[in-house]
Amino acid sequence: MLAYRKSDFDSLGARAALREWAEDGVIDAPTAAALLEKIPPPFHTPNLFIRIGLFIFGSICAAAAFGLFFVMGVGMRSHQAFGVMLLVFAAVLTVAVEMLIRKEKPFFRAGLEEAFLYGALLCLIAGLIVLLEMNSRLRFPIVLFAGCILAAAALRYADSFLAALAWASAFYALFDLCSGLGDRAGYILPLLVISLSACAAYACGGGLAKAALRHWEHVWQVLRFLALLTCYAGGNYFVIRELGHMLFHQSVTVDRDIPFAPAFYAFTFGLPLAYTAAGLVKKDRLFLHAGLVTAAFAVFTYKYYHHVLSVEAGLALAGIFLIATAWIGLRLFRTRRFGLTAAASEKGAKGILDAESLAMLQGFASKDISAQSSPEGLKGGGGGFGGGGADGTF
Amino acid sequence: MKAAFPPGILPEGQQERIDHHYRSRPFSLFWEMRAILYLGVLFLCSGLGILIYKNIDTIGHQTILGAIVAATAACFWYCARHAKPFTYAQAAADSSWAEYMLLLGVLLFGVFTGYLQVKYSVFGDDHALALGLPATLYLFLAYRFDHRGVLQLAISGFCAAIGIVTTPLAAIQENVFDHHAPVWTGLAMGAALAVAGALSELRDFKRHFSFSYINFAMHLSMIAGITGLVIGKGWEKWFFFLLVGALGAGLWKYARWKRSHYFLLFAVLYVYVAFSYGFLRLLFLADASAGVSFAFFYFILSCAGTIYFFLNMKTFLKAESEDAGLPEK
Repeated sequence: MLAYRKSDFDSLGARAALREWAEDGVIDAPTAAALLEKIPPPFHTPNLFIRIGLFIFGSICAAAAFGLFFVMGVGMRSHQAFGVMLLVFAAVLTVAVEMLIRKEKPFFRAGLEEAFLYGALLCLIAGLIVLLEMNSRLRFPIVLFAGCILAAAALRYADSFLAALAWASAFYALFDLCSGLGDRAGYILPLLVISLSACAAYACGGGLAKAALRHWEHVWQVLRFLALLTCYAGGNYFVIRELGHMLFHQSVTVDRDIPFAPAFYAFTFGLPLAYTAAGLVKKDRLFLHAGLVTAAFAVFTYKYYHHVLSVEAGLALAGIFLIATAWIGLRLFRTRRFGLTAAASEKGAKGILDAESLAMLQGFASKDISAQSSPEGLKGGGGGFGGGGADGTF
Repeated sequence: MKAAFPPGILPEGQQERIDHHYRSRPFSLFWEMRAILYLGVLFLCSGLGILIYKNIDTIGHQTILGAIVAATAACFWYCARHAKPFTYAQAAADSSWAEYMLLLGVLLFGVFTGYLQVKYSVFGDDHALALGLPATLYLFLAYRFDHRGVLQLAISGFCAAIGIVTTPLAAIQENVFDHHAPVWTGLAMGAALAVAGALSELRDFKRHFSFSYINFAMHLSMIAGITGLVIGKGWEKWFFFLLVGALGAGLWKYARWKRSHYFLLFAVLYVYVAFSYGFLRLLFLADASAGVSFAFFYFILSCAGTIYFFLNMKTFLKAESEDAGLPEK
């Protein structure tokens, strides 16, 4: 299933772990260096900026090749010819990706193979749509089918961006299916979304815990985060009300609320709290971030339907509340408490980007975070997961 | 992260230490707290801003100005109290509060001067002075309190001030884009910033600031050069074409010296844009009908060449490198 050698992924994980341990002082530097010597870097993974450059030029190159064939008349003859050309191109690009991966030192998160892979999937799905002449509106079968292709590619190439796309297309297919089923679907859809997302989140947790599935660690993380968010969206009052209005034309007026409104309100405000609490208790950053994001959305939901404060007063008060929260948090966790600390976690930052990229992104912080060490001299940090799965930068 | 180590590789007793470490290490809330703090500052500033704006009739200008001055002074006083003694090198990090207070103070000072200028036209029609004066203060503060974010604000302020001075009014009012004044201004600004960066590097005066200078210099001069290439006529096109090439070569050297992939990427990107523009223009001048196919050929070949360059860069750069990338200097 996986296009890469599993042992290579293990070497990558071992190298990352060694570096982390050396940083945390669990293992002394010479030992770590000696061990790193024994495990050579398994993949061709360039620096982030080179990756960006390779992605840009790889994309232009593939697009220009496609354009050349099109201009030379292959694609212009008929509808079918264009579709076939797209499929052939998808095959060619897939072969290119496989060749880049079957090397002695496979390309992994190197930009080039990603550009070709995304191009191949685009051509494949577009070609199928053209050949099946489904150009009126994206109906759920083709979206579902595209989602399956994306999911298969995500598993084969351990690509979390594709996994996120597959997740999104599955939900689009679900909405599309339900919007055609009439009024009753409006009552089933939230339950369906919540239960599906909960199952997915649970399954991804299992995937993270299972040693045999460790090679897709980042895929499970991204999917789990998305599943937590969609689970919340499935029961959020704002989403239910507006979507019900949009998809099922439920007439909701000021004095006529949506059915089961109190339950949805409880869900809207209860789940962020539950996520945050779970994140803090289980020391799970995924849950913590999902809790913070959904809490912001819960505030927005309340504000949207209830006029208690003017926007500016609300903003100012929220600002004061946030600053106070940060102040209390920084004070409270200055020394370690309940296994929590406010001291810098190096891994949380460095796991995602290397030092130069980080310096580029921290527009506001003028000093390097690494210079701020915690009072105990212990640098903590769980699995660093920052971006909501933008492009598998990990 | 559970790494699968083959048995026997880890030294004796190491596994226990690692297990203990995972069990006992604290869970860091550093980034979350910082994000909450930043959002709080942002919300508070915008909320207060709108409040002031809406109630300006009842509060009165003097009161508002007084409040802003008081808040600015409080921020700067906090910074001054917590400031480390000045050093030519990078100052050691202190609490993140002082950093945020400096940023807040600087932003409030910007609001203050803006307010003065808009309401009372203190600087008259001289908008450049209204921009340049705070920028000068920012520059001083950036060096005194060792803050790169404030330095970037200062540089942007200077660029805006000089841009206003040198750009003819016609270019702004009539949206005339074939004016050359902004191009030359951009190039001059880029050169000045590059000199500042070089000086801070060579004289060892806040050496870590040189990145901000060179970064601004690169983007300014390259964008100005490419603009000049596009809007120029006759010999000017050749001049700007060669200029972008020369700048690219300079950046390439700089990137090699600093071992910076960031500058390398942008050097390649800018030079590629300029070269492609020149090549395609000549191509379409020569033969417009066959030009499209040749253009596709050009893109395929040139991109393949660039990819080859990126992939074999290590041999070009002659740098020992890890899989994670080159070490930062």
